[in-house]
Amino acid sequence: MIEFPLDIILPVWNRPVDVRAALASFVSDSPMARIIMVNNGSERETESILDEFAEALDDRALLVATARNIGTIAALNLGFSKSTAPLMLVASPFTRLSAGWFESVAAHLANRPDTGSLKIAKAITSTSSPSIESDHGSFDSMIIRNTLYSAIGGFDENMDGSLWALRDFARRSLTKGFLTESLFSRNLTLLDYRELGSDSKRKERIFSARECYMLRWGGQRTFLLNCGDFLFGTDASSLKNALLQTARHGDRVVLTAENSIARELKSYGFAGMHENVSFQPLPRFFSQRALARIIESTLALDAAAFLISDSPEFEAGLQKLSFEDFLAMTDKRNELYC
Amino acid sequence: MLKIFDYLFGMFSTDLAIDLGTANTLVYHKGKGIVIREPSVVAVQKMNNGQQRVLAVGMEAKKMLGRTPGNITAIRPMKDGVIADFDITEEMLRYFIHKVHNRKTLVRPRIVICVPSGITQVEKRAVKESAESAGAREVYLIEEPMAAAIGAGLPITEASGNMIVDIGGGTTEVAVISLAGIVYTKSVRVGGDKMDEAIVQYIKRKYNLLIGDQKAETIKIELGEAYPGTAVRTMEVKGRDLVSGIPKTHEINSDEIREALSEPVNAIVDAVKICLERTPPELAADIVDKGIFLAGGGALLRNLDTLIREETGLPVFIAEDPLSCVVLGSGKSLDELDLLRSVAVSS
Repeated sequence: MIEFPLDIILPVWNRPVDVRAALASFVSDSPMARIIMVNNGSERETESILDEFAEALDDRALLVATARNIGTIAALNLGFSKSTAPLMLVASPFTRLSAGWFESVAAHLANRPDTGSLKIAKAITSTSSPSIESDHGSFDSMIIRNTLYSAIGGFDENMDGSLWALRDFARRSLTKGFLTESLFSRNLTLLDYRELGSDSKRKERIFSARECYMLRWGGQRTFLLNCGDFLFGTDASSLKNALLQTARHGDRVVLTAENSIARELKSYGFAGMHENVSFQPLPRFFSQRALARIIESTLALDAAAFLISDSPEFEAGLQKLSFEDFLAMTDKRNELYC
Repeated sequence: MLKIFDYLFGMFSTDLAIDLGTANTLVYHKGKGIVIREPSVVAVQKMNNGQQRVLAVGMEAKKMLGRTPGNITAIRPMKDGVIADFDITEEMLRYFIHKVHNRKTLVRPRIVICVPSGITQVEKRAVKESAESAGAREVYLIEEPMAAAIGAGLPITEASGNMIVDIGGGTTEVAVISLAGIVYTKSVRVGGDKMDEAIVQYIKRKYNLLIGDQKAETIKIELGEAYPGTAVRTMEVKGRDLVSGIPKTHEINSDEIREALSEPVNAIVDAVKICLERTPPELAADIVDKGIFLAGGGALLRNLDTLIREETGLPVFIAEDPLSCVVLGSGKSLDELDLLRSVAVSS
């Protein structure tokens, strides 16, 4: 039996044209992969396309069928359970990965043994860093290590079809020491599609998934750290670790610093360290006005945001928190969930 | 050159929507509404040279069903929702088009024809060609459940899921519609005709009494029900005793007819259940709220909505005018050409 380094998990429900195009693209551009097609109660036309590919690809394809539509997440979990490869790619009929995509992904993962899941994101600019730690993955293109799946299982089926299922997966990964990352790739194209189902029902589903997430992991908190020369009495490396720990638990961090200190922090890699950490250096001139704008936007994001400032007299209409309390809060969450 | 003539003649013709059903054909005239509602029956006389001559179409031909001499046959060109005899269908279409246009032979209307969702590309092509050779200038095909959904007033262009069950003479189409497209459909070759057949067989088996298809249809309309009602209705049925060969009368009741109809009715309920099971949760959630809409003549079967409600636990509604839903829907699409282009199927 041939051992494939990657299994592509493709849940399918109708859309025969897109399914055929996606399969054709995977067959030609991902020759190293086995395709696990999960027929999630499709009609005859789509069914026959899947049969056709399964027959033609022989060992390179595995067709799993469900008698009824069990939802996308359950279909993905079913696909995971059939996977034997060390890596799995979560894909949709709208995902296109051009030739050569796997090499960069494999090289990246080889250097990052801690990364359990890797979202492949579309590279927007040529200057953007190749990867960033991420808050959550994606249902369109995400690599999951089989070791991670063995440790935590698949997605939570109670959170079907929502971002909260992905966030929950990232939090559960962290409890086993696995990180979630995004890798920017020029090989990825995501075709446009409109989600089926009414907006009101979608909102209801998202709300219920959010409730489920909150119950398990607590709410998402926002911290605004206004960093001065004092650096909260700690060193840059410890500060970075504290911020990363907070961000990995799903909390948002907004870090501002005066121009001079910002340059130093940047050299320590504070910019682009995690999707949940927004590093916003203040300009040399009119820095207070810029800070006021940042505070305003932070409040708009979360009215209950905390302010941690190096200058105790600084007032901004946010709940104040000492850096020690901030560390204590982060440590408590870490103890609770890891 | 021909295109110029087409354009000119098109200016003097009005657009039509045709519901080419197994049992009845309905024609919608843009601006006038439903102008023809006749049975899909054609009476044909076989000539000595082997050719066929159409004697009557529609109501007139239906009266001849089973009462024709040897050389005249009354044919139903549609069977199980699809065209069984293309030549006769073409004749029937030509007759209806000419009847609407007061027999002006030069007019070439734009026509929308409803087809069952399960038909093949070859069948679609054949329907289109039949209509074109019957005089249509431009032919659009719409799948019956889509037309029924438009006719029932469902918000088909929205992302929310809508479920429609169109119970016609030959087929029952169950479809889930979203974003002006059929996202899931199940077609079963069970409809009013199969119900009539089931009644004929039941009476034959139970009373050794042979009745005709038309009588069976009358019984279905008078006594037919899918779920027990408050009162038991009865009627006298005349037929030929299969043992003695003498005409005989028997009294039958609605309980018996419900039993007779259980097989075709269950097939319809099963199709609805399969469709619901295979619909993804994001669309099923909308159907739970909005319910299932019944259209087509079969929707008039007493308590069918109650049975489906009981079996699925979902709200079930009968469209306002179930018999005309399909043709009204296709007629509505004639008024909105953009909608027509987005819902028409390619052939």
